[in-house]
Amino acid sequence: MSSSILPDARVPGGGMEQKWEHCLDNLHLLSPANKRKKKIIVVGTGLAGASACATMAELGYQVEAFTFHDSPRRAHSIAAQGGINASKNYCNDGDSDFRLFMDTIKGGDFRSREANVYRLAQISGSIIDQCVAQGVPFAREYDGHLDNRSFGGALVSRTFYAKGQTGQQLLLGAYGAMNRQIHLGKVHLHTRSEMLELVLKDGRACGIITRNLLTGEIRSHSADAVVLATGGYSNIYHRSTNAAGSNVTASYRSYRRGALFANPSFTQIHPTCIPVMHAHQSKLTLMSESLRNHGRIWVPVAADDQREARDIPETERDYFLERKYPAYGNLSPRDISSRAVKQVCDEGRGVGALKHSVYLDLQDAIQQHGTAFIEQQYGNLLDMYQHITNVNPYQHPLQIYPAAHYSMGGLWVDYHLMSNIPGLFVIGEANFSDHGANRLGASALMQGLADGYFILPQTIGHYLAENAPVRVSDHDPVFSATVEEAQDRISRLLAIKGKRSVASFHRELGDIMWHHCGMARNQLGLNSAIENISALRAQFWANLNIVGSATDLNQTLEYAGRVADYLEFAELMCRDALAREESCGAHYRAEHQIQGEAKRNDKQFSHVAAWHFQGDANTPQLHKEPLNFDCAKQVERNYR
Amino acid sequence: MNRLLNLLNTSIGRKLVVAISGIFLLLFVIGHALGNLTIYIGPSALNSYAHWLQQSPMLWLVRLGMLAIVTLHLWLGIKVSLENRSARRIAYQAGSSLWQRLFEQRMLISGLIIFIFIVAHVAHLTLGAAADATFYRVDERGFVDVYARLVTAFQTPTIAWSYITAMLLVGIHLKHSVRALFQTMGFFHDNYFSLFEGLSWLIVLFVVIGLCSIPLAIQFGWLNHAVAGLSIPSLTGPRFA
Amino acid sequence: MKFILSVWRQPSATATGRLVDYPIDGIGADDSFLEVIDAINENLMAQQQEPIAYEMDCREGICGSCSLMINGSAHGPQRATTTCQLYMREFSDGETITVEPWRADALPVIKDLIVDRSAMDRIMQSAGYISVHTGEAPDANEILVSKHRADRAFEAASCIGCGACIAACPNASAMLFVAAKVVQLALLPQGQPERCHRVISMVEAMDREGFGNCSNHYECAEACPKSIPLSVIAHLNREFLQAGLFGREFSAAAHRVVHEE
Repeated sequence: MSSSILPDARVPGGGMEQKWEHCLDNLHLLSPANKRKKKIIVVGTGLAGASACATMAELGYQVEAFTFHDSPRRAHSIAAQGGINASKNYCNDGDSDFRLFMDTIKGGDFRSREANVYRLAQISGSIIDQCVAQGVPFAREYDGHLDNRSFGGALVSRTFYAKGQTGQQLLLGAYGAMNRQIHLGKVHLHTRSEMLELVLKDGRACGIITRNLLTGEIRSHSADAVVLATGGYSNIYHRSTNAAGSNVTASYRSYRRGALFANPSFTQIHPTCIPVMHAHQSKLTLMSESLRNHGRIWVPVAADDQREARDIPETERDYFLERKYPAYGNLSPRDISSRAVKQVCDEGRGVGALKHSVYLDLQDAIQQHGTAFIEQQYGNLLDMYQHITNVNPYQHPLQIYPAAHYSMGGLWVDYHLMSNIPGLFVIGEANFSDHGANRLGASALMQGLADGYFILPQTIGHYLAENAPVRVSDHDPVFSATVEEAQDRISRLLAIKGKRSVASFHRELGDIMWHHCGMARNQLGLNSAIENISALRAQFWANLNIVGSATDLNQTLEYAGRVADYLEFAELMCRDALAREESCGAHYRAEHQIQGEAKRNDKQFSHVAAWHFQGDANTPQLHKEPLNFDCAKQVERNYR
Repeated sequence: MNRLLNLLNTSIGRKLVVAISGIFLLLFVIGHALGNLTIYIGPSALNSYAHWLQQSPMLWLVRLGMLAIVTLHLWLGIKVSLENRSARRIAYQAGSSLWQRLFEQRMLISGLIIFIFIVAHVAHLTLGAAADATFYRVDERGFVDVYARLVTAFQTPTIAWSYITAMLLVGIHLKHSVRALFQTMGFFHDNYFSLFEGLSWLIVLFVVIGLCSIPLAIQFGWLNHAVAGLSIPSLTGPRFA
Repeated sequence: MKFILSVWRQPSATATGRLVDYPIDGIGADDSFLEVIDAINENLMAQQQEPIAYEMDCREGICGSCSLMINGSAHGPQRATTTCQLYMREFSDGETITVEPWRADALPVIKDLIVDRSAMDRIMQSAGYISVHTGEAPDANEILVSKHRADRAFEAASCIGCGACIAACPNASAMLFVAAKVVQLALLPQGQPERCHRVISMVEAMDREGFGNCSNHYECAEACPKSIPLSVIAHLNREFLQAGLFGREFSAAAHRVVHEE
């Protein structure tokens, strides 16, 4: 392998406002007739994947879409609650592309690529236009105009929403757009098909290997380009807000084939989730950040206060976010809020049976605006809270605690969203590009759709036109060799015939990661985590129990494959966290702080850490893409 | 026309035909009940009503029309029910008692029984199968003495009670139909749920109470006086001696 | 708490299935129903027996993956709740709970409690969308929608495609599912150009899949975890009648138009 594996990021020249235009103006184009000859594989059919499938099919490409779900509508984008940002400035409160860009860059603690973020802000408005035209029922004012609310890390109201189900409505919009192309025969949808391997020929991505989850059939699919839209890996913590099926497999298998993995340790811990209440609990449910628009977060001033929330007088309550960050208050960014919550709980001031949650109190808002208003705004969220906890949030404050939620890290991509492997494109949460070290609320939907509707469909044409690669046949020996590797891995999993369940390994891995590579990290912990992970991995391959066969629907086998990848990927996360000797955004190294506030080190760490796989026996190689800030000045992140 | 046939070939289209034919049947039943209730005014009122019907040039047209509508309603009803059964050939193991299953199938069951009843009813009181002398009586104005015909018939407890049972089934059938009618025709709205619910009860109670009251009244002898006044020979049985 | 779960086990689509009893102890009232199945599965695997296959994903009531008929009720006894958000406090200690897959010929069993819901996707593919190419849209605020209408459209749009309505309907009818999409788009100005085409295509697609007819039992809305109102079915009927009488021609003609593009 050469040492200059990290390619140029292909950021166009010119002023920040003109970069995307320049890029578009200089893209090589394919004629409509030639587009029809090109086949593109899209893995994952969430917001990014479905929107990309629809748009590329509209442009004339043949699209092969893959999802491990039974339907694209099950993708976890559907669970995004709060909203989607756009710099429309409909509220006339001074918003602009520049402000959205600045908020996002600052929210990401200056660890994202400036040009990508600026483009995101520029495109944000078109996303809303597109979605409204598709019939997404966004919230409206009485006069018929679109309604906005504000979200963490912003001083303007630029978040468009559909009650607490914005992700669902946007996904169903993209699902509809994709369905239309399926109906027209331009998208071929493969459901219940999991990608196991990426196939390369002469260093280019030329296809994938999938397993049919119903029959176990391993199949080769060749194409002119491969797009990964496979989401994030926060499920590595076992208890997270992610879906049970969310996994790192597609990204990680591509990493093993040479794709660079960027900033893997940047995982977001969301401050407002329903806390762990009992040992068997498998899921931490998110309560939308939008609740912080009207909810106030507090704990008792005194540790071990046994009184009920409503019996604690105002003077004995500590509204710690409002106290520490008066400018942003309860709407401080997620990383900062999460750490503040952790801090008060560590001080013994947590509430609830296990003493590890804080109150999110709607009483003031209810008194000010009335129950009807709160119900109108958050009804479905609060109903969900009551379903789960059996506590009425209109009468008692909600109890919340941070939980793993989103991964800012992902496969490295350039300005065209192509990875270092020619022909492999990565979009949505699966790439690393736009959120830096911390994602602001309502930005994930924006990024997924920007990538899928507006960026990838343009830039992928450039690759196809410029390189005119000849499509490799799926009978090519590279395919049969990769199929064999995939099959071999499954046989090895089934051959272990040990005693421990997959879930028990996942739980244990989750514990290790949560404690040592979660909200706060330190060198000692990370080093011990790397050791523990490696020991756990050895145990996994020696003592895993899978019942059933490989030629049938076998959910344990699917799960085992995903956990096996998590067990390797976890180590990469820890290595990345260890190498980044600074605190930035969600990455908080206890060694680098000033009175509990993150201490960034721009001199040494103003870069993207892109890891290159060097074989199982060697540690991966780190490549650094320096981050230059021409437009946004790297200042200390101050939400006070 | 082709378009209309296409429309009617869809699931919703078929149900629209069932609903529209049902409206005619419902109107017929209401009209029939209203007419029959003239029995409480007196023999001459009922007989005049029956005479008016029989004199009408539209009589056969209406009769044939009703025959067609009943056939259509029945045929599509059975077809839809069979399709519904084949949409779930393996039943749930839990939670469906015999009564529940009967309840779910109530439209088909009551519909089929009502059809048999209609055939019997027409044969019995219109065509005069197994008729005796009373059946052909005319009153003093020369009108067919429908009053006597009815009273005689409902003197027999088995006939009276089987009519009452049939009317209860009509009630069950209508209770579902009236509300469903609005839904199928697209008029249903959550705001008007109770209105339609109330309306359907009103229609059902009117038809069931109205039509059941006649055999009941005759059984309990409430209409005897008037009949005795006509001194019908066949009424001199032991019970009325 | 302890329970006996009587679970439908069927090794494959073609095999015959049966109910098998699984006793389980040490369950907390705040455990979710799916966590109980997980616990049973861990026990089964420890005894080298195949775990119960069932579907779930988000575990927060929105992805629509979970799909269990619990004691004869779709998604269990609690109203407006998906199985993944059902907690054991809804059951009494010692209860025997019957767990079956959705039953409809259009949604055949794949294995144990998993059914094939692709028929629902095919209906959506037929016309359950507004046709707008990326980039064609006007500014979002150029399309005004009254709040009342937007809220009603949202209410219909909140369908999660779980299939509970079909499972609960005595006729296995998909009318509530289809109606929710038809009504959402019919209510919005953006949905007007394709309004007639959409309703007819979707109803035809629904018929092709072999779902039963709606005979107004209203079990669907009762079972819907998202409380989609019954009135959408009436609205669908109205849309269909209007389209059929005054709208465009039926399928054959429609497909021709699309392919000539």
